[in-house]
Amino acid sequence: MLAQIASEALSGLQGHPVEVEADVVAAAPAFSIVGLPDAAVQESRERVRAAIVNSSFEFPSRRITVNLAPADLRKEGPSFDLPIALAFLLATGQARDGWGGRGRLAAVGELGLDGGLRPVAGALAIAQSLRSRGVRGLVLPAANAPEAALVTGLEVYPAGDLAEAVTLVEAGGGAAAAPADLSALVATCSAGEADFADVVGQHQIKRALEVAVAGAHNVLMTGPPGAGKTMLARRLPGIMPPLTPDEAIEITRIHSVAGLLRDDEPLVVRRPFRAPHHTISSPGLVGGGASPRPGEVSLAHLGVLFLDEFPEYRLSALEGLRQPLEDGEVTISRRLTSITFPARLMLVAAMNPCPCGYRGDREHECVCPAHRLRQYASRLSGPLLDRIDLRLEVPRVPPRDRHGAADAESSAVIRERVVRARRRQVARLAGTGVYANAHMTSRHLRRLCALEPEATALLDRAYERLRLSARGCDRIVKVARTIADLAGHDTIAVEHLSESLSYRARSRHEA
Amino acid sequence: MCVWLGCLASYREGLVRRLLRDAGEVERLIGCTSAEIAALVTPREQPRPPASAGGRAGASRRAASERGDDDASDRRRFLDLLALGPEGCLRRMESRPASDRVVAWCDPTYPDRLRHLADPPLCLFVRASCPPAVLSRRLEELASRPAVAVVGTRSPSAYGEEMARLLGRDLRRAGLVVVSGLALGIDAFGHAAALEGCREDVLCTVAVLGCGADVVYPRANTSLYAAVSSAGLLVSEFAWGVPARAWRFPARNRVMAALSRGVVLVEGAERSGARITAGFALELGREVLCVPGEAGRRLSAAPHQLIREGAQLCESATDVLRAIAVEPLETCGGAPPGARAGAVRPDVADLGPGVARDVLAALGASAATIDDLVRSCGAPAPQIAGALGELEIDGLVRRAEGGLYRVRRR
Repeated sequence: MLAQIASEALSGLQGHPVEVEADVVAAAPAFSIVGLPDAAVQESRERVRAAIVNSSFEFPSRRITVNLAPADLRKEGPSFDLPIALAFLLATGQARDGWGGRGRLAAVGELGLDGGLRPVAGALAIAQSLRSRGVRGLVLPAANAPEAALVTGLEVYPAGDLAEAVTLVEAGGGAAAAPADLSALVATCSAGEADFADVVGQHQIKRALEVAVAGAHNVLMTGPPGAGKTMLARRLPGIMPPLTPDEAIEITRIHSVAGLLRDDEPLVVRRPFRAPHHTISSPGLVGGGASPRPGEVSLAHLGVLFLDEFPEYRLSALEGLRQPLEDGEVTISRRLTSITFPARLMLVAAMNPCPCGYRGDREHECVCPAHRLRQYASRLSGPLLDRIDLRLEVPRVPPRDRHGAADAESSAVIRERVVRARRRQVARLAGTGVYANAHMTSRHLRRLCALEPEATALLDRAYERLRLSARGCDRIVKVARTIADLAGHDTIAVEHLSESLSYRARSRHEA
Repeated sequence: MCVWLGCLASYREGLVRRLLRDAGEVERLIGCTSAEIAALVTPREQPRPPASAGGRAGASRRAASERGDDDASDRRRFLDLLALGPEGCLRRMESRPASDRVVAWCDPTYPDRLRHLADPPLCLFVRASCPPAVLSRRLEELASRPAVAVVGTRSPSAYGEEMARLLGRDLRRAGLVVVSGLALGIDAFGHAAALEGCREDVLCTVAVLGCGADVVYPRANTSLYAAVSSAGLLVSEFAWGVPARAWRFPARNRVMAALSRGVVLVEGAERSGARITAGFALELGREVLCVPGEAGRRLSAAPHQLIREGAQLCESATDVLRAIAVEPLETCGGAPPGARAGAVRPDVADLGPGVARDVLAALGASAATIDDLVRSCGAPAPQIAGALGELEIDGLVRRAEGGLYRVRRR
């Protein structure tokens, strides 16, 4: 007898339909799985056999063939355990399909030997893909249910073990998980514990970071140890605009595929803040592996990627950053497929001014020889630095400022200004395919960034006096545009441009 | 004879001093025949016993054996030269390119100031990539024009770099020849600043090398070497092709001190080569000036120690001019240096009232970060940043390391 049930294979974030078919014939006893299964899927034979027996079903002495169609798509991971077991039980007549027809019901889940169901990675992406194919119901491990329930238009049936799953199949429906209220979930997000009000002093840097976030500009902070670079960076997600439900789903999908979703938080409602250590490999940072997984750049999608000790990262990893910073996504090519992960992130890099860390500090003395300084600076390539609009020098807070100054603004206040500035940008950039000033091309710049005559004169003077490059000029105008947005101006005035000038890199020739 | 002796001295530390001890004065030494010289020199040329290796660590043994190799190659060349004799040596010099010249003790262009030394170089090897006539003129200028040496650490702080550049530029503008050693750091900045905007027909800078004048050392200064060669002079007491060795640098410092009317030390750690230069300068009765640094810093040790011992304080080129009693020349390109750094500060009164004026006034007192200015001027950070941006374009302030802003000195 033949039976089939729908399931889903993921490559990257992309779902592919998989039909799990089981056939039982009277022949020499055997249990084989065909259809390009990988090792984890082959092992599922043993789990399925034990789970069936331990759930008080029969494992008949017949020839059983399970096919995972289409046969040319590589199947990976343990998520096919449940559909294989269900197809087996349907084929042997131990269960009856109450759903009445192909393609109505899908199942995913990993089985334990006792028949219990374990959660799988990427449930959200799987559920979204199933819904788009018109599948009505999905049976999956209870632990994955809150996440899958974020998808509207799909009935999600949580099951604790194989027996429960069989009941759901036979009943042709039952107690579906309540669909989640997305906007309510998103609204539960607080600004987080890290608040800008905690940062004493550093008025200039706080202001610069507000500008950076408002225009989605990448930032490089240079400063001695203890200047507060990490502390400042950690507070950035708190002043970014609140996530929209769609954005939250997008982030959750990536985190779910990476298996990083927390049990108590089915939806990622906070902007991610990723701070990988500088020993990270290139695939770890930009994504990769034999079956490609999202890297840190994708996990930081719509959030902040913080790279402390920026020049200490491997050169290959740093150069790998260039494409995602430019395109907002990462494409990983493999023999059979190429997979794209989104990676629209704000890069916040931090470094010491020199290997010993104290060059330019007012209290410590730098002991680095000149050649070490050159080496240190030369690790960052020009093309990479070109993608960083704001270069800030973060001084240590002088001792007298460490106390008092309780009038610092809270993150919520800053966030409101940022939201207003972003709104202006979205309106102005409508139809260009970008949503923030940092992503403007030089054509957008010429068309959309009008300078007041005095500002043009100032820029010309700056170009000449400070020996700016054309690209350097573009960066200054972009940042000035964001400052004008924060101020609610339609054109860039002198004060916006001159403030922007103070956020550019100090050139090496300025003695 | 001078050239031959000069070449010989390139390979043997203190040779001239020993010969002079026997001969009394340079003229008598030069008057000796080559056989007499050979007799004076050779007794010392017994092969030395090889450095004992027993019980030493591997690294120091290796270092010792390298030193031994260097010694051996120097000794071999020394013996070759000795066998070649004065005439052969001169013939060899004739095959040099036009940019290379040897100035011997008896040449009229030999700088008289070097004659004060107890063990003067018997000849100078000079290189400048310019027509022979120009080279001759530059040599005359070196002998006649006042020169000042700018020396200091090889790894300066931003402040040291700024002071070296400032001094190099202003001393050159005042018509002085800037002498230094073409080392990394202060030396390089001094040379570079002196070269900037200098005129074709005036000697701006002289590099005194601790190796042959045709040897680029350190390699990192290759482009600076070329620049000095085309607009200034490269001078060495060591023969062509002589490699850099530790003992040659103190010797080079003695020539540097002797060539100059005064020595300015910018930054130096406690055991700095620049102190050796200052020591020679004192012996020779040259003025020694020190640029003060921040108290307690490593690189302030040498200048502060010298100031304690009586060296003069140097804040700008004016202090140097006063110390060596030279009137600044108006004719040497560029404006003469301002009386003091403070007097040429951009005038606060020129600006209309506003944040920019407050900021400039506050920076006049001391360098400050934007946060410092927020406190002292009472304006919000964006406004301060904007004012600084404009002041920077106007060339009134500049950014320094560590997020500091400083008033730009003219």
